[in-house]
Amino acid sequence: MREENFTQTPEPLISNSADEATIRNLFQQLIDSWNRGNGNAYAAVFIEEADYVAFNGDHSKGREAIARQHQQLFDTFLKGTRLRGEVKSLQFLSPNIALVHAIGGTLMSWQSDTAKPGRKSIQTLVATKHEGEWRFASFHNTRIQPLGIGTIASGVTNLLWQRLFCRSK
Amino acid sequence: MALKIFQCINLFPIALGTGVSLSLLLQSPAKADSLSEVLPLVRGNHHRDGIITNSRLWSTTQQEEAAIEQVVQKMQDGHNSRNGKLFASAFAREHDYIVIDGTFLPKITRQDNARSHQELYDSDRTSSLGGNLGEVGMQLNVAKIRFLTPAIAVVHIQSHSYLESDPDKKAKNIITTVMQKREGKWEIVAFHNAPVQKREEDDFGFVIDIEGFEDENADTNVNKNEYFLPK
Repeated sequence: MREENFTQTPEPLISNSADEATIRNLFQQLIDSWNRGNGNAYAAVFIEEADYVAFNGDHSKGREAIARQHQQLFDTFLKGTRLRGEVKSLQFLSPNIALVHAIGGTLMSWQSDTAKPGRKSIQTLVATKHEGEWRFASFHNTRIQPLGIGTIASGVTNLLWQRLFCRSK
Repeated sequence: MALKIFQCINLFPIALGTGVSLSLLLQSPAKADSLSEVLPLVRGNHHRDGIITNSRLWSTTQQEEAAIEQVVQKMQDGHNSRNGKLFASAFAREHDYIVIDGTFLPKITRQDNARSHQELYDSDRTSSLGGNLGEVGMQLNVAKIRFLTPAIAVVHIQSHSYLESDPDKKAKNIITTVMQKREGKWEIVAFHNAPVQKREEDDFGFVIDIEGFEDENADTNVNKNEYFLPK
């Protein structure tokens, strides 16, 4: 962050296993906080001025807003829900900045732990290390949409993209 | 400026014509006669985030912001001229791309991105806005730039797409990108696109409508006049 100078070349991409473990643990903290229904703990994994874009496009700014809005959700719509998720990829853009993609899904209050989580989503997160502490600076969530009637009617979506992008592989 | 659009967005069903409440970044006025009025360019707030505070860095920061705006412009111009290569020139040689429906394309190449978009532009696929994809315009506006380091930034972009023959048919997305300056050039290393949905809509509906929306969740502590600068 501040200690880094303007640079014309990328930082060496140091993939530090301790840092990687810390970041994965940070994501797990986010999940655990959801499952405890604790908005403050959920927001604590973010930096003070974090940007949080929810699946519906809502953009929350700041840890306090993230805490407050999630506590409201945990007390109402999300009451009793359990979040399941995992980090799918993690890359260091610099020694102090990591780009993280994760996938999550929720179990509703009436579902058993062995049920298949629904409402699957994918997140892009950016983690930053400041004064030795890793926190998330940004979060953007998108629902993974099944190929439903609507999407079929409108053309092709993920299948098209996968076909297009995978052709040369 | 005549604008058109790249789109994954228009591959999706979009219901138009019903009222909606949505909040996206710092919102635009509730109603405007043209897209350019609907789409404010938001700037300035990132200076207060405490990341870049040294006044000696100020002009450099503005230069970097301008360079980042140019990257976004490339995507817009690439789409609007149906030029997949130009569109993809905004991206790093290898980058992560999350399509609007949540499809994750990790580490795709700039060439694959260019080719895929070119195929979309050249196809006669029907857009969900009506018409085909070649008739959809796109306007991208940088809503917020946050420098995590002088060479790494999180950039939020508002995306508005519309049917050129019928601009009332339009849709709204929010894009988060992570950009990095590599060898003197800002590039997108991660792109995450998502529809702005109607609140309390069902989980799978891309029901988007910006007609007469009320910005119920706007940050009321913000003096909007400071942020809405004409492009």
